Amino acid sequence: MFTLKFALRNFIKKWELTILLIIGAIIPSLLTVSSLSLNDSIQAYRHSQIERNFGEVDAYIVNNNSNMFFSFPVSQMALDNLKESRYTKNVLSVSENLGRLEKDNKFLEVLILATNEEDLSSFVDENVVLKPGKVVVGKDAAEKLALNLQDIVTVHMSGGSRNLEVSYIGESGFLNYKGDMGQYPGSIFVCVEDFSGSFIFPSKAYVDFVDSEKFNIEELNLPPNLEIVFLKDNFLNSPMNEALGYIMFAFNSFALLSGIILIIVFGNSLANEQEKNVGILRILGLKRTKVMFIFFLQTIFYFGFSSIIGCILGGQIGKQLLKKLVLIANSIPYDSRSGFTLPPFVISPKTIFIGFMIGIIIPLIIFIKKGLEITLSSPIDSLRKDIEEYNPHSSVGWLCFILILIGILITILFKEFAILGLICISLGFIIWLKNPYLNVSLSILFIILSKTIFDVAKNSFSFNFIFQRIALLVVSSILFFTSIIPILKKLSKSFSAKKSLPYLLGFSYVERFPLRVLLLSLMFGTVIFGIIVIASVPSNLVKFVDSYTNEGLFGYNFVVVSNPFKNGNDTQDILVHDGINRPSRVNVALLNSELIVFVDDSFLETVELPFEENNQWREDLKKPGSIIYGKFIDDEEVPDKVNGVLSSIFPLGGNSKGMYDVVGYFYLKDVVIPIRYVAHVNSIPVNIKSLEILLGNANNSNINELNKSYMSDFDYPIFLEDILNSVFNGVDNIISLTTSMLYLGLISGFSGLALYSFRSCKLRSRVIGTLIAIGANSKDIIQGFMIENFTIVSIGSLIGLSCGYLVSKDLVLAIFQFMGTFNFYFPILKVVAIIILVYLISFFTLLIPARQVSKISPAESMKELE
Amino acid sequence: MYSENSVLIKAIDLNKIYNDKRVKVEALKNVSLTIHKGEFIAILGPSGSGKTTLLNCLAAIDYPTAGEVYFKGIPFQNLKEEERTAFRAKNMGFVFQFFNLVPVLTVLENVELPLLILGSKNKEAKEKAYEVLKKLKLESKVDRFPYELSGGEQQRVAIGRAIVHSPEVIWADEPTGNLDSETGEKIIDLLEQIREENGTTLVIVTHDLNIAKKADRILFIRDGVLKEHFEIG
Repeated sequence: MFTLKFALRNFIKKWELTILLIIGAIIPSLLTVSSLSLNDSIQAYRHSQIERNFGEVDAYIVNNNSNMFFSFPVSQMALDNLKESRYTKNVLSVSENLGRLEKDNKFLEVLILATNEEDLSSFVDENVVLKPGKVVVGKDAAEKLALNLQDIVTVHMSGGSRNLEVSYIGESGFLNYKGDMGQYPGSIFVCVEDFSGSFIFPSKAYVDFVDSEKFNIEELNLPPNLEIVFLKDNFLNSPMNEALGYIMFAFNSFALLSGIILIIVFGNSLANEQEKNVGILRILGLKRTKVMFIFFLQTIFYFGFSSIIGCILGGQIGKQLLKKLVLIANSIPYDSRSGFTLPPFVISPKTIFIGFMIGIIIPLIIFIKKGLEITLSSPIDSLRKDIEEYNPHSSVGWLCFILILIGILITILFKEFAILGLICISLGFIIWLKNPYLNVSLSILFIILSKTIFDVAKNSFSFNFIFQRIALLVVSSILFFTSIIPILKKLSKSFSAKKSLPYLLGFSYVERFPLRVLLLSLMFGTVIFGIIVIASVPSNLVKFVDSYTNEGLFGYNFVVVSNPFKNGNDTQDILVHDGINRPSRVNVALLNSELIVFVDDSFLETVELPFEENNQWREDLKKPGSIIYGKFIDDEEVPDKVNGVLSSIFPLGGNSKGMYDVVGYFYLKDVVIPIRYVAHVNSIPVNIKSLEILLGNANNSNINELNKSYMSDFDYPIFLEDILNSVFNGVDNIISLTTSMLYLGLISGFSGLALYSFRSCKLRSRVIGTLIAIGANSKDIIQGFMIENFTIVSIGSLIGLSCGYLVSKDLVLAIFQFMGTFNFYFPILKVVAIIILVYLISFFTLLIPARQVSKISPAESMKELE
Repeated sequence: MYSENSVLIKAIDLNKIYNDKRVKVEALKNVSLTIHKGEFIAILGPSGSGKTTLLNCLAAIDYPTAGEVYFKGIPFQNLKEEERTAFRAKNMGFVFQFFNLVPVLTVLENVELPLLILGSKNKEAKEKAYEVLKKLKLESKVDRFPYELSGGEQQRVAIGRAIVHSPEVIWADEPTGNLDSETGEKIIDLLEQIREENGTTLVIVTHDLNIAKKADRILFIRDGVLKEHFEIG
């Protein structure tokens, strides 16, 4: 009971500090649970969808050589053997293809399964009506198009369209099948006679096993050209089920780090504060096990409590996150794909456990370590400890030596890690010499090196190089802003002839505890860094695309991509419907495995190319066998001829030998799309199935009509303005969502600042009392206190800002290196707003401890010690 | 020995009562005294007698519950807190039992503090502080931090801080309480020397009779009451 009382005493007595610590410490648990709960919800949704999506089906059999464009048959003998197997309950032979269901000018992408009425009825154990001219529609698809029995619908398939009557609506199970990953809005079943997608039947067989978990696959005796796919297992175990949660977790990692820094810094402080009292108890005879138990209890009180609250709040936030993400996904419209359903929100015990442990494991280690430290040393040593005594760390000469040695070895032996070697050597000297002027000089040197020897333009842009450059920039920023304080302190003495006392006090406290100040400032720095990178990189991508498509794509604002499932291996021209101006055709294929586009006369006459220096190439390209060459880098040599294999981008789409004369060149970076060659359509061999694209211009007023026309043709119309706007909005919304999650990390920062300032007030009351006693104005002391704390905030903000800017710029350069000149866009207003907000909230956070400072009575504070 | 004109500090019927939630403590009971310029006074008494409380009231660090304190004729009780603080900055120096140096400032910075508080220019403050440290034979330690010095050295730094701005009076509260006897003696000798050289009034609070005997006058306090008043020599 005594140990419980002792452990609880601080927790309750210093309730203000307890609350502050808990507020800051909930963040890691909160973010973990909110992110991972997304995975739980999706996983649970998948489980709930198993019966709904698959029903009886356990697996399917398909020919190894089949692909999405071309199907090979499944032999009847193999199917008969399968049916006779003791493991098999039922088999349904089908042919399958993607199609479009139309009703009242509304379209829906569906999976079309062609089968026989009898087989289907037997398989699903329902009396299904599926005769020629009829169609069975899954319930979800029927709801999306508001279909009822006997409605007439148009089914668009690759081989043509059919008007069919809805004869049955499949309520559940396999009749409501949405694809092996649930990726389609729904499915329909048609008679084999009505199916015009393929002439191969059956190309697939769905299997219902007696017990899908208990059989030996070898006993099925499947021929080697057939493969079996277990649908339900794949659906439940797909890595995509956990992608969203982990992506959110990655985005939140900056804020999480901020929370963990707070836990480490203040966990250590809290543990150290116990030392004197525990020392007294040990002198009085308290056993070691009881001491360890006290520390354990305190960890549970502070950090267990905060973890529990974090998990609870994380659940609430996860719920909101899920809703927002579904809303964002649904804001990107697809004419033929219906929106995403909001899965019910679920948190698994595993997520709660992980969230809880993340908040408690580090403080547990800190406290147990402290407990061991205390119990293994003399209790008198514990009594002598002054918590805020300035004790520089003992010499770490061995660490410096090792760092320098490692750095030298890396630089000599692994030249590609030269930057890392340089960082190690520098760190060794920094720790050894502890000279702020050296540190600032090194940081400037690093920046110079990043612009010269380690410049982006002069090195191959590999992941290794980018990573090392980022490390260099981060180290440089941290070094500069942490080492500038002693210099500022000297400058403040020179420039503020009088009234330098606040600066002397403020900067001295920052200077004397560099590691603590760095950790505190990083609570802000990591979050600001994360916000800047997350806001900058996608914004630049959007701006880049926007700048290139501002006037449309090469002057065209309407694009129709032909459906590759149409027309078999033939290439048929996309129809030019009324309302399209300047129609131009482009066909895409591969030459030596690189993209080649074949353009028509209309394209050559009407295309708008802002980077064009002269237009002679437009005439030259009309000569058969001519080609223009895309240069990857400026000093790449342009060949006179290009010979090679011309092939379709589709499997089994044909290939041919290609021989072309190069009549000009362009720069890939100006074109954005990674096209290597351009030729005229008169150069395209007839046996190659190319991807046809129709480019043109359309007015807003006739867009809807055009969309409907092309959807009916089973092609893909894209009105660039609409699609880009919705993508840009989607990106903006995602940025807003992720940055708002990062703001939670700032809570840890403010909590840490408040804790630090409250504790400073308390621990320095004697010093403050002395200063007041010898005549220092309490205003000067408060100013010094504010200078100290705002310096911490400033260091963190500046580190975050400079690292964020430099790293974002590097990442954007890496992404756009081959895509032409592009001005790096830095969301300065947003960043300035964030930093102003940080300062404002810091100011309010510090008001109460500042007030406490002003109330310190010199007599009381000095009496307390004695 | 001293004329009325040489009165530096006068206290009349000082009372100090501490009211805790459960306990009422009368730390000072009707204490009256006079301190003259240049005097060396020892306030002697056992632990808990009220000597530090008396020092705090005389030095305008604390407020008496009742009574008056005059410093060069200026009544402390009429001054606002800021005025009291400014008064202390200009006229008083302090030496404490536990040194009370600012741990994050160097020796030089600690000593120049009173000058900076008074608004001296940084260069002047630095030079004057260095001069004082030279006199105290601590010029080789100017860039050290308090934790790097011995107890005696730290107390000498505290004395340097107390005298750098040439105050009228130095208040020393158990200045040798945290030192061994030999070092303690040296500290007291140092304080005496400073007093003789500069004519500074010196008031030492102590429970050590040997230290008290060095003073011109001993004020003996017990249970908050100024019991006896000895003049030495």
